[in-house]
Amino acid sequence: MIGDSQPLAQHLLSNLAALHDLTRESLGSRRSPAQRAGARQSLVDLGQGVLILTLIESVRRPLEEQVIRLVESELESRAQEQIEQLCQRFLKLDQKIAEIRLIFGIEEDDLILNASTLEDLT
Amino acid sequence: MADVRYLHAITNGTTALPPDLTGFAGAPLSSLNWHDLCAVTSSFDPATLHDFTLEDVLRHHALIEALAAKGPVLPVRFATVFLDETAVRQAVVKHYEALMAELARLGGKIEMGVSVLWNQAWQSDSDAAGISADSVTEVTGPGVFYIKARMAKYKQEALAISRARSVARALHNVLRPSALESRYAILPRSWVLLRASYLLERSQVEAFNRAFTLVRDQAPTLRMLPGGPWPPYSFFTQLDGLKLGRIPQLTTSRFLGSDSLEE
Repeated sequence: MIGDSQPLAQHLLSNLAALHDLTRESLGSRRSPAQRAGARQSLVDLGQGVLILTLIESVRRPLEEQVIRLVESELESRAQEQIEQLCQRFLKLDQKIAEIRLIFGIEEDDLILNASTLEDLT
Repeated sequence: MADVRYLHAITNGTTALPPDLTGFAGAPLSSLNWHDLCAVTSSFDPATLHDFTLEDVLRHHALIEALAAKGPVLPVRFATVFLDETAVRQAVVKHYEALMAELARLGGKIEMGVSVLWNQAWQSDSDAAGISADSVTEVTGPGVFYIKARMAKYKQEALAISRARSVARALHNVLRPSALESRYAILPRSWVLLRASYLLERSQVEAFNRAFTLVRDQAPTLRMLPGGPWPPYSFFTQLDGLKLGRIPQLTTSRFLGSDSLEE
């Protein structure tokens, strides 16, 4: 087990499972590779792609930040194997997100997730 | 099949369409009037959807500039489309009062911009902060390696955001007095630290340019690119449409090329 961080790990895994389902659903909506390649032909598809990726990215980051804290606190413990497995789930999610971006022709910069707009500073 | 409409601009309804200009991909322009507003649109074929070219961007901008020369105009962002003419009409009707107010506020005004590019020299700051690649070497497997790399990325972004906010305040102190309003986008692109936009009366452009020269001379380590004057894209609260695509790679390459010449 991952020591005192087990509840957090369980929480992360359940959230991650939901994210995996979301990405699988977006991919599953295309029945064939040809249809996947044609995803950008549809305005609605493209809009959905941006929406889905924005949603996933906005959830992924806080989860990853929690995992980073977990890694920092548990790296010296005997739970390294469980931590590695947890981190690999996020690695797989990253690969899945990259696949979705490729399908929809969306680059990371297009989402501008890290950008914030400041109104007048006065 | 629905006639997808590309929305270029909103005018006050009395502005004539420029006879020598066309819409997206050379499509004829058409007007959609509602009381004192006019939506300038053209037909857009979804089958031709592609990575937009620099020519597409310039054509969009040239049309808005031509309309602005004839009267007040609200510039719609590049690559904004609606599923059909009914959707455009619904948007104009729904936002009519707000659009009239925006036309009164922004019509005749211009926008100036300043982009501050990411400075490679700042990478040494990241290294000093312990967020270089070296910090991700002592790991147990690919999963932890990945998460450590993400940690380094997040720390670097936090450093960039902090720096961008600091630069925004420095610009604001010097440039804002010449402007009516300002906006600051933090890390709008991975290679742009900050994009500042200022709304001006046309008569204020000279004063603004003098202030920009001053602030650029005061901060020689910052790589600042001025922009404008152009219609106030950044200050118009955009209509609910479907935003497509991204800044063309051609534009990006040219931008980076100009930057590299300053080295």
